[in-house]
Amino acid sequence: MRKKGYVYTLEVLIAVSIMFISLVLIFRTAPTKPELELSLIKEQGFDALLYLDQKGDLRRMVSENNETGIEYGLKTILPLNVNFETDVCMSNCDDTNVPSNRTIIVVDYYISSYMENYLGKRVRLWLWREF
Amino acid sequence: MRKRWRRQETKKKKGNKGMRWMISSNKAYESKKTKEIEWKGKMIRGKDLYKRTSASYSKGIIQIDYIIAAGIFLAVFAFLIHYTTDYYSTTKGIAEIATLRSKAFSLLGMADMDYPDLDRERIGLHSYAYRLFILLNNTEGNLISGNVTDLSDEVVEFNLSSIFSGADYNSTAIYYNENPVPYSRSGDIITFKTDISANQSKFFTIYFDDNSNFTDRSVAISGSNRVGEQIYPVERISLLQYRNLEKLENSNYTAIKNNLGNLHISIYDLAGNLFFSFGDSVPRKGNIVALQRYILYQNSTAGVNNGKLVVRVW
Repeated sequence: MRKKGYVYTLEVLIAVSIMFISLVLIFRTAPTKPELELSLIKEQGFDALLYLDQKGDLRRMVSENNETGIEYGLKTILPLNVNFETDVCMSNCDDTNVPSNRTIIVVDYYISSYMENYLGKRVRLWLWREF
Repeated sequence: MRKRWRRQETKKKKGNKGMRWMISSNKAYESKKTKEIEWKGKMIRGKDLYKRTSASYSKGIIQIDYIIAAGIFLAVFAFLIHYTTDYYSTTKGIAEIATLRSKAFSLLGMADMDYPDLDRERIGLHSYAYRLFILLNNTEGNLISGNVTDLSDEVVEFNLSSIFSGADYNSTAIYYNENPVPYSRSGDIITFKTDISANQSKFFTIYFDDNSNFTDRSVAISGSNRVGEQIYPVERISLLQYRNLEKLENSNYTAIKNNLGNLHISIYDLAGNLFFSFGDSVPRKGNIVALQRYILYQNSTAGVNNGKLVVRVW
């Protein structure tokens, strides 16, 4: 009887502890953002190649095998937080400089001809987030 | 007090009668004393009438555990409310931004869609235009007359109708190294002039449309045609047509806003100068998503320029 208040307090503390632990377990994982950025990056990569083609530069550079020119053109278009690598190829494309520990988005843009010359090549663009 | 006890002892010796009186007397005395003591605020029983128990002093301390429990409860409850409110507001904010981003992404597709005449649930500014290249090569074998020499007024002519039927002549735009070149039109023949050095070759880019409404911009051109030109096949390109931009500018923004929400569409040239703007002013605070895309657009004189389409939604 003398320790009745003590027991009540202890009971409250135990109840609060159980509640607290339950809340921590339930809300332990923060809400995650839906992954829309990858689709955005892919769309940006394709639009960038399309723009270079509409300008009339892409086919000329593909006919000249000028990868540096293509990358320079893409660098001015793509966002700064997106890294990329390109290769002008037919069947086997060189992905030497593409990192292996990142999520990579790949875009293929096919070029059939330039002026009166048949090319039959493709521009492969690898994209990944810098951060 | 001692007298009473002695009296009781004396009475005891006299027998049961005395005992009864003693017991009732004791009870009366005790109840009286109990009342007296209760009135004073103390609980005392039996022979220990004048002894005080420790429980009587601790009565107020029993309430402290309730206060502690209430305090802990309030603290945890406040933390709980704050945490869950923050959790759900974060979820709501993320969902809102994801929705806005999806809407902006969808609006960027206006560069791929034609203008919808009756549909107010989407915006389209796309149209096809056409491009061809003309190569002027001032070398032996390409001369029409004379020798290979520097030329200052070499005239280039081509028949647009033989290249593409249904072309809108007033939409013709000629460029050399992204600089516009003036031209004259006589019937189906387009003529422009350039200077070219000996053994030099020049590529000219000619754009034209088939469903535009530009005014005639031909100027007088004179010179002589001594070098043959090579005309390459026509290719179709996509751009934001000026006619569609005019239609959008004259449309009812409120009707579009009711279907698509708050938005602002801008077109800038590569130098960052604003060429076209449509929609509400962007608010100074709130969740705003902006996406951009590089495009070709047609200006008011049928010129084809490189630029950026920027879409802002909130």
